[in-house]
Amino acid sequence: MDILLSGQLLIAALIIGSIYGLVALGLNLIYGTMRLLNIAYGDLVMIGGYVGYWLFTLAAISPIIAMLVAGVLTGLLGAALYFGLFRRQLSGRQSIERIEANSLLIFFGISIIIQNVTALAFSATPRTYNALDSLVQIGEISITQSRMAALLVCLGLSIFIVFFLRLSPLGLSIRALIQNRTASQIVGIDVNRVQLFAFVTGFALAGLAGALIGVTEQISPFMGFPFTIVAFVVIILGGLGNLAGGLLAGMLLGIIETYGVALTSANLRSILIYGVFILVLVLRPEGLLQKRRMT
Amino acid sequence: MLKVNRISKSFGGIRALSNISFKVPERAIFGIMGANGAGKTTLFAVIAGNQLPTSGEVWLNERRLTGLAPHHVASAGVARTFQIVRPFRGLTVQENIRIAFSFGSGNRSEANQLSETDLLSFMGMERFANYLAGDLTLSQQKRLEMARALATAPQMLLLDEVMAGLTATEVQDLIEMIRKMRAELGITVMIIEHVMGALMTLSDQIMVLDHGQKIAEGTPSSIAQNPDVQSAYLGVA
Amino acid sequence: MSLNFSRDALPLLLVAVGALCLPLLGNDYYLGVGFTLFGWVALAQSWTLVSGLAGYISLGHVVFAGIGGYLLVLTWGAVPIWLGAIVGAVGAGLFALLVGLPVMRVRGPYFVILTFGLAEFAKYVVINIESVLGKFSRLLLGGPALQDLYWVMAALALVGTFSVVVVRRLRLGAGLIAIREDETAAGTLGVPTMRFKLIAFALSALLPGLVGAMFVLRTGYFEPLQAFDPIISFTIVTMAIIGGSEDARGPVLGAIFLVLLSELLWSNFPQVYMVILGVLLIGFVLFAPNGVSGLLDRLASRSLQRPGVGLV
Repeated sequence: MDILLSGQLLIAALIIGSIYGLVALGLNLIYGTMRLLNIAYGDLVMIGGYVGYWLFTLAAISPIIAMLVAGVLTGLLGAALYFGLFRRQLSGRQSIERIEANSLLIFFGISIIIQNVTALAFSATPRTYNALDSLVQIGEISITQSRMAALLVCLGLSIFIVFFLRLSPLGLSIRALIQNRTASQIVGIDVNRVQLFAFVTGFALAGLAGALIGVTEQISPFMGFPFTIVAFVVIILGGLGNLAGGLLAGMLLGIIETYGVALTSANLRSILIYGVFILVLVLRPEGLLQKRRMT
Repeated sequence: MLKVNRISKSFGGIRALSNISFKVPERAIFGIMGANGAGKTTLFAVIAGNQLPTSGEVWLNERRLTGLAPHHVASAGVARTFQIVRPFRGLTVQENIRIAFSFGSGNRSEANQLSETDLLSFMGMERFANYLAGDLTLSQQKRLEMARALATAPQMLLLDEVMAGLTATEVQDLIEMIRKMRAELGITVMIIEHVMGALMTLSDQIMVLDHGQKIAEGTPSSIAQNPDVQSAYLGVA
Repeated sequence: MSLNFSRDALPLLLVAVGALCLPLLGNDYYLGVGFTLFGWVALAQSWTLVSGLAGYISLGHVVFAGIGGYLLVLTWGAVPIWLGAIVGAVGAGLFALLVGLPVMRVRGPYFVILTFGLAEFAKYVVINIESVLGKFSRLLLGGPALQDLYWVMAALALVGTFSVVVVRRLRLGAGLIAIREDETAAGTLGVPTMRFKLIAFALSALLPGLVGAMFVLRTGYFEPLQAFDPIISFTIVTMAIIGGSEDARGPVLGAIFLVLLSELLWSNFPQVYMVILGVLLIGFVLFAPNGVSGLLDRLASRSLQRPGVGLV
């Protein structure tokens, strides 16, 4: 019982929660503005992980810098995919349901491609590396620098983005697009530009988070899917398109996971995550969260 | 025939319908008027079982419809069209109608023994039988939607703004067609319409909704002269 | 009831003739390939019942095969082998019925990701059960010969193909297609949407249960990570999308194509194979959403009046 009350566990929950919050934020941006269901999202986290790994292993570059490189790389990948595959889809006259279903299948294909190209390039063997592993002492709690960095960066970045969206003109356009696409076009928002921005930012956030996650977790070509699932749980819990709600939900899931595993066993971690995922989808599917339309 | 008893419906804190009661006699054409957001479509959704009312009941003859799933309401003999058309886009016109035929109410009265082809010609759509529904124009899709509703052999048909966006001639055709439905098929019609003139000429009885409340009910001429309606809806001070 | 040649008779013939001819090559290699091919045909046809006709795209169909395989393993030694396989199928069907009640209420993309999560959840549950039982992979010795398994699998493929041909002609099939096109409208026209969805989901689980049991008998061992491998679900979806999932023809064409591709590439270049699958999936979703089958239809009808889905 003691361990449950320790600050150590709480800080672990907060670290995981802040990572989940950031990962979900990117997914939410893409879904909210374009209704694209990016189930390749976790694979971007994986790419970030590899960028961090190689930069550190080959050139001893700190994960803090690698994080930016990873963000830029996945952001560029996002731009390429946006122009190559999605812009045309989005500007067509397809119904939202069609776009959602197609995007899911397309991203599924992208996910498989990314995973297997990575496996071809770097083999499927999981990798780990030690960086930022000296301990930081805060009162009775000691955590590694890397986890401290993950907490600070994820929290800081998430809060920055939420405020950015609240306060900047571009942020306002993004929120307008999330609310109502047609109306946004009518009031003169450059929808294409805003979408590109949201798409690239979403991709970049995943890569960036991945570089941080890779310091503490095993990196392998197939590590991504659990993050996709987690991100979906979080944005559904917090409300699709509701960015601030997603941050809270990320924290909530971090707490559920950390304390759930502490109370049971590490073997049950996946069952716990998928269990929450199923419950959330079954009990609070789309209809309960979105404003009901009167039909 | 249809009895609506103190129906209320709230969405979150918003009352879309409050305490609506009315009766529709057999073989009537019953019009519903009201500004956007007055609760007309919600009322249809409640009658057809697409939404549960917060309180109140709907009866068709001796049968309680409230709480029934949409397909049970359909087999009880109530059909509806949607304000925003919902044809089966990937199917042909004929397939759309065939599906409604094979499900639907299954209690075809003598008068309502139209075959698939009869129905297509009744609605003037024979030419389009093999077109994909998604390829039709909006006005054709609205006709298809009515044809499909008729194919379920309803006793009662709920028409939700079937005339919106049509030309004057098309509106005239449709008015004739709705009259024929009642005369030849014996169907009771409830109709929501923004095209005022059409509603006035077509309906025996009109009910006016305003912000979820029923503010008037009566013959078209009495409605036109009702001061409440004039101030609330026609915008006359 | 007349059969439309290209839509109905062709796939049935392909499966039946294929099943009779492959053994004539007189080589276990071909029997093995045939076994795999027919397994995929049965899986893809089952998937078509719920995902092709009703439009509820399942990204977790492996769960039924996994359950079928696992039930066979659990009943191994306690009941005759073939009975164990049937227990697997019935178990998968009951599971579908049970989870279908809440799950089939979830619509659109949420349903898709939910099915994936459900399969993963089941996988980890089985992994944990096995580790509690102290088993980490199970060997099954003394299973049926390849030849027997081959004929059973060929029969399953035929049954699967036949079931799609038949269901499309039933009121059930028309109702499912109506649900796919517009569920709300279907309900108002009298289609009992929930009941039909449940029936389709349960039907689509039966054959995969058997197929999963056959896969386990063929390899002779059971390992949850393999039996519930998401790649199986992914392959089913890709087959149906490449072939088309409007009728019984698409899954057969898709399965033949992917099995040939996999024979060429899988053993030496598994990742290249997977990358090609991904590219094909994206290509077909973007440029030929009705698959090869849809392309054939488009070639066949040159008039402006495009055919519908050919409900009978």
